[in-house]
Amino acid sequence: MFSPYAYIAFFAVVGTAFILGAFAMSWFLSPSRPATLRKHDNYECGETPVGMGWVQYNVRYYLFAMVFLIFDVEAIFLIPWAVAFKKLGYLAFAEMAAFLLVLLIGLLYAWRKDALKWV
Amino acid sequence: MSNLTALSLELITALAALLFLIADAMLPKEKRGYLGYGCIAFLGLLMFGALTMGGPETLSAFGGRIVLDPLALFFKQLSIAIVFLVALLSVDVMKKLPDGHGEFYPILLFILTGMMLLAGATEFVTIFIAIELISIPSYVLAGYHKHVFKSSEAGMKYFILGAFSSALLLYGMSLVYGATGSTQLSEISTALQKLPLESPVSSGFGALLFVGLVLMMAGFGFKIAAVPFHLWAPDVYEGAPSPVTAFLSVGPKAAGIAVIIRVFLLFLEPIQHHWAHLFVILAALSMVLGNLLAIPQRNLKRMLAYSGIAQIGYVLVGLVAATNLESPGGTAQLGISSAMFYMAAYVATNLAAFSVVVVFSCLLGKEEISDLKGLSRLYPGISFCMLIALLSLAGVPPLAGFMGKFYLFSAAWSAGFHWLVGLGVLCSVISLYYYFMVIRTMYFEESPIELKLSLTWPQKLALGVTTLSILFIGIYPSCISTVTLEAARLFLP
Amino acid sequence: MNCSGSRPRARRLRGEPRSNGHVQAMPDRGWLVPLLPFLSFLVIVFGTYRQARLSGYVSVAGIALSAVCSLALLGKGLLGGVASPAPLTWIQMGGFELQIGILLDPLSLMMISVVSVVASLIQIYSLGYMHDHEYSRFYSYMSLFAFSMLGLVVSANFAQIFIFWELVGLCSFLLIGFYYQKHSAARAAKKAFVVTRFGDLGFVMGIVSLTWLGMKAGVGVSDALSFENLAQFLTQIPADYKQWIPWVALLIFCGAMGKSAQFPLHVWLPDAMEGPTPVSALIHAATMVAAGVYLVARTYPIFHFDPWVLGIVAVVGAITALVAATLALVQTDIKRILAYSTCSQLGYMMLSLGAFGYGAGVFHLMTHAFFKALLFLGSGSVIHALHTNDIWKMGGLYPKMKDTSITFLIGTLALTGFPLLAGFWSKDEILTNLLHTDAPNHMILFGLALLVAVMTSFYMFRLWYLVFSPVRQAPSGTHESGKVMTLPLWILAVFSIVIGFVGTPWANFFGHFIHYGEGGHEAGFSLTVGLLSLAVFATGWYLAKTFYRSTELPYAKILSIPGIRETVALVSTCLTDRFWGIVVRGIVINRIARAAAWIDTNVIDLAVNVVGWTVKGTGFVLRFFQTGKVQTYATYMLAAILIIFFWFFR
Repeated sequence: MFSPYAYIAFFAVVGTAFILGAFAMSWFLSPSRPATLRKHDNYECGETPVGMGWVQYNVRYYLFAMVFLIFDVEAIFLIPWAVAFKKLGYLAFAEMAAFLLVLLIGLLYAWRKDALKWV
Repeated sequence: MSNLTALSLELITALAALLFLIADAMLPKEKRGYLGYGCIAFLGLLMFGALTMGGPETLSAFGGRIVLDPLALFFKQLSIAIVFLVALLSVDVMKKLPDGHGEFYPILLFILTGMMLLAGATEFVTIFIAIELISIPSYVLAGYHKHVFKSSEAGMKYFILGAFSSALLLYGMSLVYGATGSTQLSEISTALQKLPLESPVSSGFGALLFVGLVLMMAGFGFKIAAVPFHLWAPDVYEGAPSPVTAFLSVGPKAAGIAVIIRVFLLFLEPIQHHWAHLFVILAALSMVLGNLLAIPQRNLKRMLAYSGIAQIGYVLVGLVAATNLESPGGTAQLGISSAMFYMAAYVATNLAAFSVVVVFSCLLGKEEISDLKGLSRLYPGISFCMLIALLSLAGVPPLAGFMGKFYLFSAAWSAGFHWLVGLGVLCSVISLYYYFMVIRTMYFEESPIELKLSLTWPQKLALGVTTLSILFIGIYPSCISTVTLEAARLFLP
Repeated sequence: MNCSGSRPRARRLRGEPRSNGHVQAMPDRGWLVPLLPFLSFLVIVFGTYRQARLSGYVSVAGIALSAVCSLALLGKGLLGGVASPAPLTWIQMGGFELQIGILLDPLSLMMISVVSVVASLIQIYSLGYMHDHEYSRFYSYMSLFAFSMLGLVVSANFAQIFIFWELVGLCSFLLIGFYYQKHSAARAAKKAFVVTRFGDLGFVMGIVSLTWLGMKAGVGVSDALSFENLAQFLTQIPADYKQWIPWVALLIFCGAMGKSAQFPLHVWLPDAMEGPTPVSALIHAATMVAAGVYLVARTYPIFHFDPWVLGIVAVVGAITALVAATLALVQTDIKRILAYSTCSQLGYMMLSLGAFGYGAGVFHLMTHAFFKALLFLGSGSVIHALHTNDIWKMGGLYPKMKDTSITFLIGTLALTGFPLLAGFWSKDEILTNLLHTDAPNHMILFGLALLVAVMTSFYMFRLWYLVFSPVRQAPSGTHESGKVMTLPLWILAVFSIVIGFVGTPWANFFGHFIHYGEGGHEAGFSLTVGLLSLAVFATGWYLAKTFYRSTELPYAKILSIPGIRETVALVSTCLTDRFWGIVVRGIVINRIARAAAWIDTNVIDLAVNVVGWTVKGTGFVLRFFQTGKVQTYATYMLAAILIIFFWFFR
């Protein structure tokens, strides 16, 4: 009947139409209020915002996030390996040890370079 | 159990990189200056080890995902040589930085690991990982002078555009995977041989494959800075610290050519009528635009960036000569061999030129062409090295660049690309203009100031090795061409 | 090559004669011979340039070691066989392959021995002749020259020999212009370089034509240019193209003419005497100028292919011999006399080669190297003592400079063909060969050769009487040169006496060792020639004696007859620079150069400028695409990809 791609095309058309429709609906239905100062403020979970939105975040945020990533990735690999530990044998153990070593060196490096310290 | 011998160089380098990383973290600050010399020593030993390796047999590891054949070995040796020379050039520059110079060497070694891995990779995912292993540290290196605005800008530009091109590459790989059902190059090759593919656009399947190939080519083309994917090169070259620019001008190009040879010319050979035209276009555009755009440049590094674009165009001529687009006879071995030869000659030549640039930009903070005025009176040795390098880039006999061009063009001529050879020769003539402008500035203009600079031994070594290599390859080209011919034996029908 | 090296040695011990088969010994280290001087060149340039004395010793050590190696190789070649080392592939680029090799055959073995021995002696002599502050530059050039010359001799193919050919030309240029502060020296260097370039142009064209013939014969470049395969290659050329072979030979002969100063390219050689005297001895008498003769001998098959080319070689040689000898009669500069004499003797060699006298020509080349080097070094010793080149300002040196005088006399006797000395044997062989050969017009050539011999005898004894004869009064304060200079003179004198005995008509070792084809062409002893040659020698000597022995010089009387002096002057200028002045100024400059200049300014420059402007303009326009914005770059890349898609899917 149709090729499998036809369904995809159909889906894309419907999806696009739905989103455009939603925007059109809100444009039609929403009441029009002229802009006030408050309306242009940053949204901050209901709190009254302080300062501009274009603030420079402290680079430490990213550093911590990246160091966290080490453990994150570690966990992703460790859990499946731990589940199948007995089946996989010593070679897999050695490989995992090497993997952990590399991550460990990364952590060690970050630590020595004071990446874990909030200044 | 995989045959780890095939991977020994990469493993050793990666281990060394980790060791240098720990050493950098553990050593007291004032002793980190020695890391550079340690790195040079290590690379020297590695080069020696890599030169003793070899033999015509092919080793493979991880189910054929990584191989070690003469082709891979050649590019591995070339990569080690590149990084070795770059390390020589960097030592004194990095020492001057206020902080963090110790990180430079692990980063360099990680890049080397990636380059060597790429030379032997025969599977899409491995290739992609290897490319990222080269690219991501390269972004860091480009922005290594973090307090210098231009350097940060260069790092940022390189990162954004590099990520963009990686995305293109990955997308292309996924499409080829979709079309053939495998990421293993050998399996892709067999799958393609079974399919009757006359024209890229005759079927939906062919179109899929073709789109994938074009995207992959764009990804690789970005790495080697071939027109029209070259736009990042001048800005990044200009902004990056000079030793890093020296690396960027040869390292990614060598690695990119290696992977193009393996992916396209070795494994995608059955469908070369799909992609061969594209390389012809890339080669011609790179030669023409690279040379034309180099002419108005005032900044030495920018000029060399465009000249590098033009040079990669010549290398692509060699690759094109390896296809049977024009002559069904098959000159694959010759074309590949000539491209590899030219790559080696280009590495020696360009690093010689950049050694001079490094000496100037990092010791004096000058990198405009006009700053070279009267160099020959003050420093005859350095100007002689620059003279040799520029003449070799321009292809003047009896230097390496001439032999390389001669080899390339004769291969392309016998493959039937007469018009491309004509264009190449014309472009070489054009290139004489801007290279000679630099020579004229050095030799025939008076110096307005007295420069005072003294070279350290790593810089002298780098200058000496590269200049002598240019002369030696030019006088005795067989020392390289026998190796490249042997490496290109894979391409015998 | 895998045959063991002990076999020839065993044979040597047992004293067995050389076996008839091609003896395969271990490949010999022939490459050491040229490389040792090159090593000393590098050491001098990069190491000892500041220490003048040391540079001199380094250079002498290099060439002396090289001489030892050469003699060892020669000995091995004489006793057993010397195998050339396997050639290296020099350039291999697809179908284009060139090799670089060391060719060790009797001819090259003889040449490397002569060159290295003579060069060693001359370099030792120079330790006394040159000033200390000139050492480093002088010896670096000399070492480079020795490398180039030895490399030239052992070259295995045309491409390789051409490179060394140009290198010796370069060294010659550098050494002629050694005293570059002197305007005349700089001019002479330039002249030598330019005049030999005329010949080299022909040589290059010859090499290119040879590869062209190789292409027609379906033979690769490396085989077409190889010396060892030359004869075989010529037979492979298709019949349609065989007619071109003589022309190729002529083109190659052009190169030989330039280098060996053959008429009409001989004009550079007398001027080349501006260089230091040891240079004149080594380069412009014994070795480099002989390279042309060597080239003809080396590529003899191609000349031998068609006799009329050899005829031309013989005629050119004869004219050169005659013209140069004539000019030598009237020179007053001691070095210029010797220079013209060299020129004349080179003509002699060419004459012999051209008249099928291969062995005789090469033999004369060898003997000449020794006695001419001796003569030049002797003149150097005189110049060193008197600080003048003018023979009229010299005289009566015998009592003051006995070593120099006696060795110079030995050299003179050797050159003029006094019985039992070196020149006697080689000149006799040439003459005998000319008499008995079946070359066309050989009797005319024989007559000319005899005439030249008379003249040689005359001008050499004129020189000896004017400079050394005790009849005239020596300038005061003259003294003998030091031991370091006289010792090489004596060694060369010994060589000049004995070297001829290797090629006597009765036991012609030389002819057995070096011959063309199957050998046995050597004419035996001819009493007629022997007597004639003796008579010729005596005539020249007697004439010189009557003219120049006494102090009042009747020669001057002859010259005072109206017209004689003018005629001599006219002839000599016509044959030297005047001739070229007319040719060059009248034709080359006025016609060709003017036309070329017009075309150059009005057509080529315009075209170049138009291209240049276009290129530059395009470059400036294209630059505006480089905006520096990442977004733009990403857009361009994407656009490029899309254009590719559209182009292929249209």
